[in-house]
Amino acid sequence: MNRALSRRQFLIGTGGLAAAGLIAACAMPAAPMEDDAAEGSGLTGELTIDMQYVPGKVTADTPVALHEILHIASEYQDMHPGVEVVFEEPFKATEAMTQPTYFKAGAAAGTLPDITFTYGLTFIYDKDTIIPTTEYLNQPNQYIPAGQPGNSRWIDQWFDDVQPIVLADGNNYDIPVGWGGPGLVIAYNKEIFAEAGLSGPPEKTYYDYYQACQQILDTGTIPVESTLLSWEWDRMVDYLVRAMGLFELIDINGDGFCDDVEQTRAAVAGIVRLDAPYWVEPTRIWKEATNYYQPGYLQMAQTTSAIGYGEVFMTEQTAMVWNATRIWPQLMELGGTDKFGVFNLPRLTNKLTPWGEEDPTWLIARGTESKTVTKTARERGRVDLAVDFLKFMTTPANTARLIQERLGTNLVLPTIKGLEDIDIDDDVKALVRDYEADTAKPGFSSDRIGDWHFWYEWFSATQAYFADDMTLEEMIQIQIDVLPTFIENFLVDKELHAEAAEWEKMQADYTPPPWGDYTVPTEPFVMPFNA
Amino acid sequence: MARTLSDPGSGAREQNRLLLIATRRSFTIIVYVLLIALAFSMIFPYLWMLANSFKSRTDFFTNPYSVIPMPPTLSTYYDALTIGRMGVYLGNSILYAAAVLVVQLFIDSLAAYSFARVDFPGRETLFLAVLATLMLPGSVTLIPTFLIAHGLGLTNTFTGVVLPGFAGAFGIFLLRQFFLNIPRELEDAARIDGSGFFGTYWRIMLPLAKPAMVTLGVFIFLNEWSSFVWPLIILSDWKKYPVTVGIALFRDVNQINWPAVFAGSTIVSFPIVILFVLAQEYIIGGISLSGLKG
Amino acid sequence: MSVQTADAGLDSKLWSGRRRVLRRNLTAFLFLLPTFLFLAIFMYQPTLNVIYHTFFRWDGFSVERFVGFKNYITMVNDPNMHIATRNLGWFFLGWMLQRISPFLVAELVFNLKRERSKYWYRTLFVLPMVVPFLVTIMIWKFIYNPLPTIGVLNRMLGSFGLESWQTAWLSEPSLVILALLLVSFPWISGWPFLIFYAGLQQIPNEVLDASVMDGCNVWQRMVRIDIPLVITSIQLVAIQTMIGIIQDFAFVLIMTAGGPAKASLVPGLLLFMAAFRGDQMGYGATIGVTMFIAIFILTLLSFRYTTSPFARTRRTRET
Repeated sequence: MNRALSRRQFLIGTGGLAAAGLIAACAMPAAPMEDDAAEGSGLTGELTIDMQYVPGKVTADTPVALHEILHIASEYQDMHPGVEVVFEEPFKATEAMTQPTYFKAGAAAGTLPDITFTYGLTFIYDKDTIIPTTEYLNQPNQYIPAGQPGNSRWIDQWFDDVQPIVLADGNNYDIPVGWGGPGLVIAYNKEIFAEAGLSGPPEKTYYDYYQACQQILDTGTIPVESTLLSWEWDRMVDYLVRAMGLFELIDINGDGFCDDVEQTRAAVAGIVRLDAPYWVEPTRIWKEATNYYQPGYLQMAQTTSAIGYGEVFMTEQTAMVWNATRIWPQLMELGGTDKFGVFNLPRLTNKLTPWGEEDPTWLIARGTESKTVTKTARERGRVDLAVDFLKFMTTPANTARLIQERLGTNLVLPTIKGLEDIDIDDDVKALVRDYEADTAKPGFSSDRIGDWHFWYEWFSATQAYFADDMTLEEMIQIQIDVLPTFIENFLVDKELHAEAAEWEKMQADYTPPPWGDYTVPTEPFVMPFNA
Repeated sequence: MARTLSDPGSGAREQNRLLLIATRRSFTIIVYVLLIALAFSMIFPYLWMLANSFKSRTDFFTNPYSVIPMPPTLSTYYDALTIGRMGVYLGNSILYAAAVLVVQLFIDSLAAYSFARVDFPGRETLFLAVLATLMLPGSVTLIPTFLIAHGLGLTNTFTGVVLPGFAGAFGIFLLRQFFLNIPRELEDAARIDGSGFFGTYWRIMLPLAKPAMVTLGVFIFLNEWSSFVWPLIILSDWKKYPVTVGIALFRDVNQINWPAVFAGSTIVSFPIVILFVLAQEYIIGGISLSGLKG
Repeated sequence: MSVQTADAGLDSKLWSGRRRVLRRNLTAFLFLLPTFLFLAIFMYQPTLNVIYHTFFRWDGFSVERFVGFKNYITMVNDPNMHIATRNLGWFFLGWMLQRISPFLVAELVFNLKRERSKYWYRTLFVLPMVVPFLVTIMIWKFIYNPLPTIGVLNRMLGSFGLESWQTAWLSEPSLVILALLLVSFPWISGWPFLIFYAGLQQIPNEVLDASVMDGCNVWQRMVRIDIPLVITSIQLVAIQTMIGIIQDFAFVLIMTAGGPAKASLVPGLLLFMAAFRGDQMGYGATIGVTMFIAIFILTLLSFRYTTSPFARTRRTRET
């Protein structure tokens, strides 16, 4: 064998390999959405969409195949010949760690479907990746019969409190698909309640809820399983903000919501403060209430929710569990409604703190599951088609079909009017009636103040305060100290947007209202029924 | 001590010797017991995963620790293969890992050989430049890398998954260390035989570096097998997903069917178990063939 | 045919002639070409992009605004960075020991008499590598569960009558690092084990035989012969471990999210939160570039204080 030749061959081979790599790199077909040219804005063409589940398929977390959306899509196709609705596989490991990465990359490259499912929008909304829907929400929804809410204006078909949220630039970006609801219901174990001498769920106030907790604790059982999310605290702040007449002052555009921009403005103007009862009192109450939660409650939310949420409740070691919709199918498997019941989050009244109202309006949180029209749709000229399909999908009739079908896999509550006839368990239906009848209002959503930095500092300080390593003043001072960073970053971003000037004017005009003298009490909070 | 053993003498010495043998024997027993204990505690997670993969969801939640499923079920495996489409993902993963394995081993060994044996100008700088790529956290370069791959039209392609893995600084480092340890005399002999630079590399160095290549191969394979974020971002079609992303599809924010996840994990662990069993033989075989021993 | 011409002169003629050297260098560069091609596209370009963006307020995509050295100044003054760096010091010590300790086990297995038991132990120690990361973490979260009914650790303490020692292991600021370091006890990671074992296999039999003749006991042999001979393997594992430790965030994120009260916060986690939670890619990139510099310096130091690969190349150059 000629050795020199073999070496030359090899070198040629190496060069060839490198060249092949380059050619492969350059010549690979471009991303799929770029092959089909935009086909105008008429209602024809292919529409890509992902759901939270794989339609028509049994998957590991969807024990019952969900077909309704396929039927709805085919009905839509029959109505609009030339339209083809294509369902893409959702990426379902939507844990906090990977979802933003996935969404950001997909958004940057335009590989998201035309309509995508999303949990949190604030981290992406102004990055030119999702399409504002405000304009469309104010148009009529022609799929709704005349005279019914939504027929003249699409947005009217949602309950007032669960309408699509307005983000910092004054626009809507998402369409709540009608099965979010309050979400944060509490489930309870009827047997453990009976042992503690409780005949049913507590009355609808925090006072009664904590009293029930105390009664259960006295029998030696841990009352509640939850995680250190700010849900409880956040709701209590919202009730006090309402009770003290602050809400209307923050809601400067008077639309009944405090959107991101208003919350941020409130933060700039100093809503986080040491002499504010609405901020301090809920924190004190919350600390006392940690006695009722399972050991390990002080860990970060993500750490418990990522793995085996609800395990303590399901092994019957606690009487209640927060955010029960997540484990609904397992509860049904473990004993059904004979054994487990659900109730809505309680209200904060003046029975627990003098700053509360006697009979406050029910404050509810907006559902978090929504659909968003993406940049992909705009590039393909399909925004109108996407919006039209969403109008069809969110009609009460279609929403009812989707919700009813999904009951086997998840507890879902409607956010769209006119769904009285859907077939849900009575206990569950009572939840819906609660917020329908109480003509609920949205809260201030204090949990939307600040960015990750603010929240990380706040959680860490809360952990230290609950562990008595820090005083309440120190903890709140940390919140106050961290806010400027958030505001500064926010403003840097805002400078790149047209709305910045307006936003800054709003910031300049705002002055917080007085509420009299208030200093942080030195003695810890005591539950009134224990006093 | 060895000398005492080899030098039997008086009665007292004989006694000493027996005592020594006894100590040594008990020492050996202690070593064995220790190793068994260590091995068991290391293998426990695997056994736990295996046992729980045969449980129903309710059984798992109520008795997570029991290693005996009551009653055992195979439906999790059925689910993993049919609903979970583990077969498809498994095939993809093997394809990705094998492609990266073959190409990277080749490219790495070429570079490592150059770095180890040629005194070209700027060698140390270039070597540091290669090593430096290990040092920047992947989470910051993720999005710029993705944008490049997208610019090259690699999104949602097989090539896009494997191409960034074709050159590996770690492999070059490892192989270079091994090449440096190989005595130069062996090459000199080949050179005297008239072998060229590539011939020496191909016929002398590669066979000698076999154990290192096998070790590196295992590493590359494992690395590619467990890569998650990159394929997740670059792919949008489930038919191309590797097992890591496939298993993640089992999970969802609301519910996690852990037993099915365990069943899937068990299925996808089989190729690696087989790889280890095979690679072990090769490491041993490679060393005895390399002419370095005995 | 080459055998007849083989003499001392040929070797120098083959390898030291000017043209030969040039040709050899060219060959070497050709050998390096594929590596650098791929590195340039998928490593150097993104890296330069990231370094460039450390001088920007940058969200990763569209928002881009020059801020000079602000990110670096913020980082140096960031109290979280100080806490994270201090915590990292403890993690560094603990994890480095954990990754080097399999050397002892490799020695034990290597010194076993029977080939068959060697084989089985090797398999057993390497096999745990196939368990997915999340499964291991899940088991340890079960173990650390504060409820004695679920958490094995607290249950064991209870059964030994040590109820007062029971605690929420991941919720105690003073204990959390210790608890995290304890994870995957007894820490025989398969990969270092494999590297060390391969290194031990490389030791020539003559050396081992000579040591027996000289009357070395196992301990003496390990310290005087094995460790110096496998030091490159140890260095390899050490450098790899160091890079892994400094960059890690996933483990801490899933176990504790840096809590409680930042007691287990690490720089990698700050990077992750800035980059993917907070739209502050520019700041995240700054932390990343700083880590890069730290790793680079530590790697150079490790070359200096152990058998440097450079020292080695210099020696080969002399021959």
